[in-house]
Amino acid sequence: MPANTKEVKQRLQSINNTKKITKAMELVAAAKMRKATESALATRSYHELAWAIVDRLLKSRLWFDSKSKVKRFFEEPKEVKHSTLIVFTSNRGLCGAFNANIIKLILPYLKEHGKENVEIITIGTRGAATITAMGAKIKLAYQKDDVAIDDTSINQAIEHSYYSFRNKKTDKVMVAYTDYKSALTQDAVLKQLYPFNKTSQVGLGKDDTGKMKTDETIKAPKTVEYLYEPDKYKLLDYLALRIGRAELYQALLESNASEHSSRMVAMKSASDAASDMADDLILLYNKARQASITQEIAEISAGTAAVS
Amino acid sequence: MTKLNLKLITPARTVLEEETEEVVAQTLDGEITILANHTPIVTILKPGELLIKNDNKATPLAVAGGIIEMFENTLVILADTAEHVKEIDLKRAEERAKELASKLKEKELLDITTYNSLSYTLARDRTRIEVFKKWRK
Repeated sequence: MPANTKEVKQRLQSINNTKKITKAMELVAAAKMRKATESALATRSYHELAWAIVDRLLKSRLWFDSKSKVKRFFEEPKEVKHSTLIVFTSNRGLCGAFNANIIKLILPYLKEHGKENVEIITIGTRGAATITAMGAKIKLAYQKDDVAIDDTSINQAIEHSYYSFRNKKTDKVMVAYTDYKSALTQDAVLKQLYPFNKTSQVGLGKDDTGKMKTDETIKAPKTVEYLYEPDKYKLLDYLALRIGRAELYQALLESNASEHSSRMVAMKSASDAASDMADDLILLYNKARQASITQEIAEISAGTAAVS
Repeated sequence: MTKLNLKLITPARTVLEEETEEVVAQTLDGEITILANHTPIVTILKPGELLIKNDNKATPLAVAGGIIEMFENTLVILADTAEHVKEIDLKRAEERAKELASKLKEKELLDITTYNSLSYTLARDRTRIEVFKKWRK
């Protein structure tokens, strides 16, 4: 046992200082989380209806001219040579396993398709740093809006992916983001954005039983014949960009909500750990103090015994 | 008169969810009126005025671009923004429109994405002004 009370006191002080910092970060993250969660939940219904429209279109009698450029958006590619991957991470660290989970998720994908065939777009500086360190090349890198008020931070990313998919430069566009389930659970997910398929929907809240939440509008009979105005190709083209943007925006909001809650949880456990450590040290300090007092008394009484 | 279910939704909020008789919207091809049991249709909404008519009363709204879909008597309008005439802040819209217009004059300096988004925002504010002037004065 270190008998030196001064040393113990110094450690105690530094632990308490750290605890103050983590506590402050926890509170800031909690406030940001509240905002981020609200906006993520507010857009969910917009986003679900947007997706319901695509879903109904996919189920309706949709046929295309073979020359049409829009066709690509609604059909699975025969082979995937080049793909685009949009990765949402945080700008800063200290948020638990938030970034590590995303990176862990995209690694197998990069391996499967080969690093050189995947064009990576990062939103959030942390991911950019890690991906560069892994030796993959990044095409575009953006900062993530900490509290997103509109879709400006993803606008260029979506336009780039839309045009390169449309012009056949890439055969698939994937999005890796963190789905917000609750303050304690967030799942890193990898989803296909283009071409549209049944798994493309971002941020579909599942309830506790694991069943999908379905809006009554999602169900559709198999054969619907839609009227398209101005004409089918123009409309679907417009829709492809627009729905893509809505999906990406939702992914951004979900990521934000997840980042802040995961930072909050990480900081909370750091504060708790600091409290535990401080408690142990106080005990240690008192023991050391007592030991030195006992020793001093023993010395004094030994001294008086020797004199008398 | 039979009614249709209307859902008017923007990313920020659900603006309206109600039964109504008639909806008049501005699309790329021009104005369309949708009544109950309209055939399934998907079309592109243009920034402009959206009129909702019910019980001989018309509710005007200013909407930005979006998608309209009619399906099984449910009309879904996904708009970027939608405001009731009463909610429009004319002064703010005018100020912003002025500022945007001056920014757009230097278009050589802007990249295409910024240019598009600026001119889109400008159209939105001009719609607000237009709808406000038509219905409030």
